[in-house]
Amino acid sequence: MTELTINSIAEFGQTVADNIGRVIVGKRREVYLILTALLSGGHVLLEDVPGVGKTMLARALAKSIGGRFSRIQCTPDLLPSDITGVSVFNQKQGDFVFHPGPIMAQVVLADEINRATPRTQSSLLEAMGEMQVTVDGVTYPLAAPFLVIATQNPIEYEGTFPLPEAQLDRFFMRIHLGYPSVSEEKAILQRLQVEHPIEDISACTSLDEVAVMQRLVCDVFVEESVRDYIVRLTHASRSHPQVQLGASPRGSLALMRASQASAALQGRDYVIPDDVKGSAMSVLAHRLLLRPESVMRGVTAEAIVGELLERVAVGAEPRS
Amino acid sequence: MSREIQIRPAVLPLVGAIFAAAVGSILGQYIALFYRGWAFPGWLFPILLVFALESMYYSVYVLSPRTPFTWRLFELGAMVVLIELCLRATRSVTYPWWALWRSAADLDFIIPFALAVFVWGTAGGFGYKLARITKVRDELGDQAAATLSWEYDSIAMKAPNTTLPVEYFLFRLMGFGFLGACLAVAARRSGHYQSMSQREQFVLFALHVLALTCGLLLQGGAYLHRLTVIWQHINVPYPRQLLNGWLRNLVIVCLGVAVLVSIMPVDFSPITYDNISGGIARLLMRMFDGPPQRAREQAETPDPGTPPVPWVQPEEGEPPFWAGLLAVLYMLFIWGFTLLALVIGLGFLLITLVHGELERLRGLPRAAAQFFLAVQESVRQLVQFVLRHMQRVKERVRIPKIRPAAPWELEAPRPDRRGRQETAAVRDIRGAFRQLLQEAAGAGIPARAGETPGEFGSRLGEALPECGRDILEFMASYHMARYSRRELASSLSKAALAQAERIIAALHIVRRKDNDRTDH
Repeated sequence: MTELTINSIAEFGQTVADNIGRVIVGKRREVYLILTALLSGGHVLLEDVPGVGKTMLARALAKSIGGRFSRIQCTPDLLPSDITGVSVFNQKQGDFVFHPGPIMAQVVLADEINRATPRTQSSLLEAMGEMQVTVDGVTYPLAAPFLVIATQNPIEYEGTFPLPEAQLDRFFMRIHLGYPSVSEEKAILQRLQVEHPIEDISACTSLDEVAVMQRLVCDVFVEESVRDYIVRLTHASRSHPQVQLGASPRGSLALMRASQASAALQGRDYVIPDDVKGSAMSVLAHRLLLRPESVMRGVTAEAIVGELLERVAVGAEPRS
Repeated sequence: MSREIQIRPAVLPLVGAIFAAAVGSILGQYIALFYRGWAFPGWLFPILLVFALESMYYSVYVLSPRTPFTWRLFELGAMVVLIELCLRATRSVTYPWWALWRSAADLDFIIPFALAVFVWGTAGGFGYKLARITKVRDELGDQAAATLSWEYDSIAMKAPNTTLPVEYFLFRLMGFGFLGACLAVAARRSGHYQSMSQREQFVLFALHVLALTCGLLLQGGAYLHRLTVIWQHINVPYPRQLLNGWLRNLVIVCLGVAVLVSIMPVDFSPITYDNISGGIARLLMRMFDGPPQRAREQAETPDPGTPPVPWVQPEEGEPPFWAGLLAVLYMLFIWGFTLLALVIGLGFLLITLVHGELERLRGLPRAAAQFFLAVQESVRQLVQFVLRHMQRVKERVRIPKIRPAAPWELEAPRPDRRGRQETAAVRDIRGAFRQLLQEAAGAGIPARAGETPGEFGSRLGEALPECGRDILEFMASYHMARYSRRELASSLSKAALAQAERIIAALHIVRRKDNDRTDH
């Protein structure tokens, strides 16, 4: 990889973050995390209360990368065919015509995914994992880059179908947006007083370029001690006394890929431990299944990951 | 139809039949106890068991909505004939065979027949529900996966006018348990129980134990069976340890029931409510009324050598206010302690039994579980504190032993640069960084366990603001030297070493200042 290519990824990150910043005030770190997921080819689970800009963030990202955006509002009566698409008989042509569903887009927002039934969730997650959908025996590949941003409300549980741990593991990252600060909220009111700036956003890159960047991220160098650090982190999560099920090898892989993308977004062609630490919370926390008694005590997965990051030695230099 | 039905564990219908027969027998024993005009015949045990087994297996494997009712009538007819045969074999009956209707006025026939019908109906109900559990896959369809979640199981699948099959078993178990307890109390309070022979008492006790054991096994087995059916339907591998865990929970429930039965006023064991309250009362009397009665009597016995002193009525003074207050506080303490123990016990039971669904508890159960966890955590911390204290004492008197470290406490493996030649420039920069770490530690800024070089650099920059730029540039060079695969330019390397020297010099100054301050 040449210096220029790495710089172009960093510039891409800067431009897209600025672009999104015109719509979403603040939240630059979260925007970078979503870009990390996009460059790593992963999908994002946004867990937050309604009204903090999840949909707008996804729309702004889709516009910035010049991709097609679609939104799926998940409800208990949503069927898999409502997502993947359906073949309809055309009387004029005398044949079945496939009508693609909203999944055939570059940035897909699955709003309140935990309200859909497990069957529908499975079809969506299958498309996320396989990058293709099969309808009536015909397989349709999904266009790359493909990013699913699923949201779920962490407060309400009534009438929901919580994602099982195995399916949560398929999400590359879980990100909390959080409420804006006072100054940020004032800026939002001021900016959206007349019209919504989302209409003014234009694409700052092409989809082909994003696909190339995704491939280039894989070439970012990961030194052996950094790889050791990643593995020690995930292993420590498995043997933590308050964790019932730790991060899987898929979690280790995701953490390495996220660190690579994070390094590339900062203009580096090598990963440093800070990249690992910066991504670990979003990549690992949702993959941990805590013991019920720990949940009762109010311990969170984020707290466990934070503890691991504090205690697991980075191993930069041997201790004297 | 029925051939597809498989009850796992296969002994479940047998357990259900034994439970129904045991409950019927207990009822019969108490009828015989309260109504001396009828004695429980020995042949009724096998009769009840046979009809319970027949009804249970028939309901599980054969019965369907299309089964003609005449078949049920045939079963009842067989019951009448069998009881009549046994009756005629054990005693003389005045009416002839062809006048069976006259048996309707014979209590020796009516009571066994009523008990047999009761057992037959109860076992049939259990069998029907077991079969219904097996058909749960038809009700769930492709939503079976969601049934693994608790909400769906308990809310979505429960129609407003129906009960879950598992609840059916639980309600019957509790109902029969309550009935048995009431009959036992009534028999003891009325003195009937004491009039029984030892053999009869043993039979009654054995039937109670049998009913309790089978009832609990049936309840646990039915729940386990439902889970197995759902999991098989969605092709989830059946966890072998589930049965062990379930049996362990049943043992705990049995122990809990045994404790409850023991403290009930039924005198099944020496730890009764009466004995406990009597003990507390004696303790209180001893505390507030001085020495026990015997000691007081001895003290009051006059010496035969001394002349009798005329008896004077002691003055009954008002007890002091503090004594009353103390008594109230004591009572509050006793009752509070008892309540606490009960809450902790409830919390323990909940955590043991519903381990995976604790977060769904609400109200008192949740509070009890939280309370138990809090107590558990306090005890753990206390033990840790004591152990730590003991460790410290040991360290002072002995050479400390090396304990195996937890995985997260393990020192990172010494980094090597396998597959990559380390150049002199890289070695120098890494050496400078190590020296920096040592000097910083000496100046009171040691590197933390999970700290990255970047984070350490930031902290160092805050402590040495005059070296901020040097630290930033040195860390960038160190990162490149340590983590990238590119060769470091010699100019960059020299600049980095010079920066390191300046930082170390600044650290020396800090260290000297600290030493001077300490000396003063």
